[in-house]
Amino acid sequence: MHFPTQSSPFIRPKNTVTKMMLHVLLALVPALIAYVWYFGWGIVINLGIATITALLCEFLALRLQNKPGLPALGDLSVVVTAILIAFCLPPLTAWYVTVIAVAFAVLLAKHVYGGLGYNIFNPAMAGYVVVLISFPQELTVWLPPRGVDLGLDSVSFGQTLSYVLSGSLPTPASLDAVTSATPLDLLKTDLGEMRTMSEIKTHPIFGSQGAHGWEWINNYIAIGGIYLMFMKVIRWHIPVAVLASLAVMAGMFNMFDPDHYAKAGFHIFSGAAILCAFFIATDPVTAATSNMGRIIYGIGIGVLIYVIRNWGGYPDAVAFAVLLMNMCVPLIDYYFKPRVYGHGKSKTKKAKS
Amino acid sequence: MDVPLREAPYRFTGGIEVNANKDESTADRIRHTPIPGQIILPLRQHSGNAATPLVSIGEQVLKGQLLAAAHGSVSANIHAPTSGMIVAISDYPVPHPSNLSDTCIRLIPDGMDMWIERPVTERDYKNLDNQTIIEIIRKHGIVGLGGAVFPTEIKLKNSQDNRISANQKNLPDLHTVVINGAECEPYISCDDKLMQEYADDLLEGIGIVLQITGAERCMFAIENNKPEALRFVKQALREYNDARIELYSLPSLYPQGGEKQLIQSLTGKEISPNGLPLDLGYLMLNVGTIKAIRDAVIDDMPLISRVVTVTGDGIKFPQNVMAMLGTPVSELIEFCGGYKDKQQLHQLIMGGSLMGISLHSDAVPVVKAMNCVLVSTRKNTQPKQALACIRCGECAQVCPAGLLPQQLYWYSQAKNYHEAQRFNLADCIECGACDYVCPSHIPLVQYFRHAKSEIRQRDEQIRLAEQAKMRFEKREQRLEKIATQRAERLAAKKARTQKLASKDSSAIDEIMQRVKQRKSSNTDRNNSGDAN
Repeated sequence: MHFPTQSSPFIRPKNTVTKMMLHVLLALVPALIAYVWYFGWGIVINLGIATITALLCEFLALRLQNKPGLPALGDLSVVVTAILIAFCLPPLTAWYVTVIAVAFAVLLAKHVYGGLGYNIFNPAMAGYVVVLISFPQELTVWLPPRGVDLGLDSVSFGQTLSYVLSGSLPTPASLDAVTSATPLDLLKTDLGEMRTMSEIKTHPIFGSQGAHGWEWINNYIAIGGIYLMFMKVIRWHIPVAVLASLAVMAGMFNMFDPDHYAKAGFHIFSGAAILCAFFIATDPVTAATSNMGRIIYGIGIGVLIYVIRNWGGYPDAVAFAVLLMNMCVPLIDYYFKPRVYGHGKSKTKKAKS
Repeated sequence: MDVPLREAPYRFTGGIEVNANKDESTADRIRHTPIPGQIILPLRQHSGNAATPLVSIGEQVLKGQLLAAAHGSVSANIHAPTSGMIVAISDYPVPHPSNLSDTCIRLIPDGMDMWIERPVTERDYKNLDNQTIIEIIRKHGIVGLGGAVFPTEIKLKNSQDNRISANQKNLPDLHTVVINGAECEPYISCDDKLMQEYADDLLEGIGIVLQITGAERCMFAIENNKPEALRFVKQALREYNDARIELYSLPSLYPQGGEKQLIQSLTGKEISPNGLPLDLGYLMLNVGTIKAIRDAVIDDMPLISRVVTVTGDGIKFPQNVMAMLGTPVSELIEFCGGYKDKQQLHQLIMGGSLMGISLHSDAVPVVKAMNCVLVSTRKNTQPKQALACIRCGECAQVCPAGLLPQQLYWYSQAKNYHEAQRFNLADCIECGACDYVCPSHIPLVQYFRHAKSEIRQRDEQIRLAEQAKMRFEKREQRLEKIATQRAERLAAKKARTQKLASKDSSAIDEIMQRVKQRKSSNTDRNNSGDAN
C-alpha cells in the first residue's frame, strides 16, 4: 500500500487563533455585564456598530488584496479589535465616531501593514487615538455610573440609541445634563484648579479604591484577564509588569506628596489600566516576544501611563503608552533574547519537589 | 535491600505535555512475529558507510551468519535474521525520508531458522577484558537503538579514549552511564515493554557497560507515565543488588528523552553546542541498546531482531512485536490484524508522531532504527491551513533549546539565513514542540529543516567557490611565474645582443679569436692523432 509523505510532526496542533480569540471574547463577558449595569446600554450599541464595521472593513480589505474571506474573517481577531475599541469609547459615542475609529484600526493600522501578524501598532489603540484627537468633544460624553445621583434618571435603551444615531436626546433631557466627567478627567481638572486630593475624593463619582462603578468593571476585567492567563492565552509577564510599574510609580509620588498625587489603587482601578494590562498590551502581534522583553515592554507601558496621566495633555494615557511602546518592540526584541541551550552560562532551574 | 526511586532533581527548559497514546499498544506482552516470506536487509541501517556484502546470490546462509561487513570507520555489521537463501543484492525501497531506494540483500527464509554455530551461550563476561567485549559488540553489529543508530562500539571506544585524553583536554573522566528509558514520544511503547519484560537482562547489560567504561555510577531514567516499567526495574534491581545503579523517575514531558534534555533533567548541566555528553563525563545509552549489548556479550547473539511498536488508530490490534530485521512492514501490520479502514488511512510513520518520518510504502523492511510503525487516519493528522504568525511566542515558551522559533521562521521565510544563524538555527533539535503549540498551524520545523539544508548547501557552495578561487589564484601565480621567467630570459638574451652590438668590433674580434683558437687546437689534435 502507498501513502502520501509529509514532514513531521504529524500531530494535530492543539490550539487555534480562533480559539484564542474566543477565549478573549469570553473573558470580557463579565466586564460587559457590569458595564451595562453601571453605564446603560450604550456599550452594547457601540459593540454592535463596531463589530459590523470591523467585519465589513476586514472583508473589503481582503477583497482589495485578492485574499479569500476565510480564514481571515473566521479568526475573529478583527472582532476582538472592534470590541476593545467599543470598551474604550464612551457609552454615548456618536455612531460615526465608532465607525471612523474601527475603520482606521482595520484598514490603516492593520491591513496597510499586511494584515494580522504584520501590523506594528495595536489596531484598537491606533483607531481610538485617531478619534480621541479628532473628536475631543464627542469623547467626553460619559454617563455617570449607576448609583451616583447627579439629579437625573437613567437613560433608557431607546434614548441611548437615538442619541448615538441622531446626536440628540428626546426632550426634555439635554446632553449636558446627562454627561459627566470620567474620574481621571475630574482629577486632572481639579488638580489644575489647585484642589487637594482629599477635597477631590469627596466627589460622589469616587468609590473606595478607584471610581464608583469603574472599580467593579475593572474587577471583572481582571477576572477575565486571570482566566486568560489560566488558559495560557496570555502569559503573566505583561499584565504584571504594567500594573506593578504603574503602582510603583503612583506609590512613590503619592508617598512624596499625597495632596497632589493619587494613590496607586486609584490609578489602577479608575481608568483603563487593567483593561490595558490584560487585554490591550497583551496583543501578541504588537508586543515583545521573549519573556524578558515582555517585562521590559510592560514596565515601559506602566511608566508611560503614569507620566502622561500626570504631566501630559490627556487624562487617560493607555492608548498613547501602548502605541509608544509598540514602536520600541523591534528594539526590545533585538536585545532581549532567551539564552539558547548550551550557550553561555547555565542557569537550570531546580525542579519543584 | 530497598532500592530508592529518585526524582529527577532538575527540569529541562521548555517542553510540552502531549497525549501519550501509549495504552493502545501496552495491553499485551511482546509477541514474536513468525518468520516472514522474505527478508530485505538494507546495507545501510546505521549512521556512516553502507556495509559491504560478503555473500553471493544463491548462497545458503544460516541464522546469525555475517552477511555484510562494516565498511570504514563508522559502520556496522549485518547478520542473517534467519536461515535461507540469498536471492538478490539490489536496490529496494528502504525506510528513509527521501523515499529513495538503497542496496539491500534479499533473503528467502527456508523456515528452519537454523543457527550458525555459536561458540558460547551464557558467557561470563566478568573474565573478559574490555577490548574483547568491545570486539564482540562490534562483531555483532550493535548500533544505538534510540534513534541515532550510531555504532555502539565506537561510542564505547570513544569513552575509553576519553579516559586517556581527558587529562589533556581538561575534560572530566567518564564517571556516569545514563540509561535512557524516557521514551517521551507519543504512541511508542517498545522501550516501556522491554523494561517490563527484560528488566533482569537490562541490569546485566548495564553491568557490562559499567565494567567496560569503569564508570562508578549509573543513572537509569524512566518517565513517570510508565509505572509498570519503573516497578519491574525496581524489583529487578532489588535482586541484582548493585549500589552503583540508581533509578530515576522523570516527569513525562516531551522531549524528555532527548539526549541533551535528559542530561539537563538529571544533572542540571548543559552540553555545549556540537558537544557530547562525554565532554561532561556522561555516556548515554538507550535501553534497547543495552539489551542488544547484553545479548551479544552473554548469548553471543548478533543484532537480528528488535521490538517494534505497531500502533495508531489505523491498526486493528496495536501491540509490541519482536520482529526480525528485514521483515516487510506490511507483514508486521498483517500480524497485528491489518489496517482498520483502508479508506480512512492517511499516513504511515516510522517513529513517533512528533519526530518520525512518513513512509510512502509498507513494502519497506524493518531496520535497526525502526522503533515504531504508526498508522494514522485522516482524522488524526490532517494538516490544517497555516495562518499568519500572530507572534504569540508560545513556540518560544516550549522550545527545549531556548530558541525563538518565530524569529527563526521569520528569517527562514525571508531567506535571511545569516540572521537565522545569528538566532542559533543550528541548535534546533527539530523536536516539533513549537509546531504542536502554534495556534496558526505554521509548519515551523519544515521551515527550519529547509533553512538548514539551504545553509548547508550555501556553505558547500562557498567552500567550492573558495576552492575554485584558490585554484584560479594558483594558476594565475603559475602563469605569472612562467611569464616573468620568460621575460627574464628574453631580457637576458636582449642584454646579450645589446652587449654584442655595443662592443661591436672588439666583441667580434673576440669571437673570431675564440673561433681561431678552437680551430687551431682542433688541427693540433688532428695532427697529433696522425702522428700516432
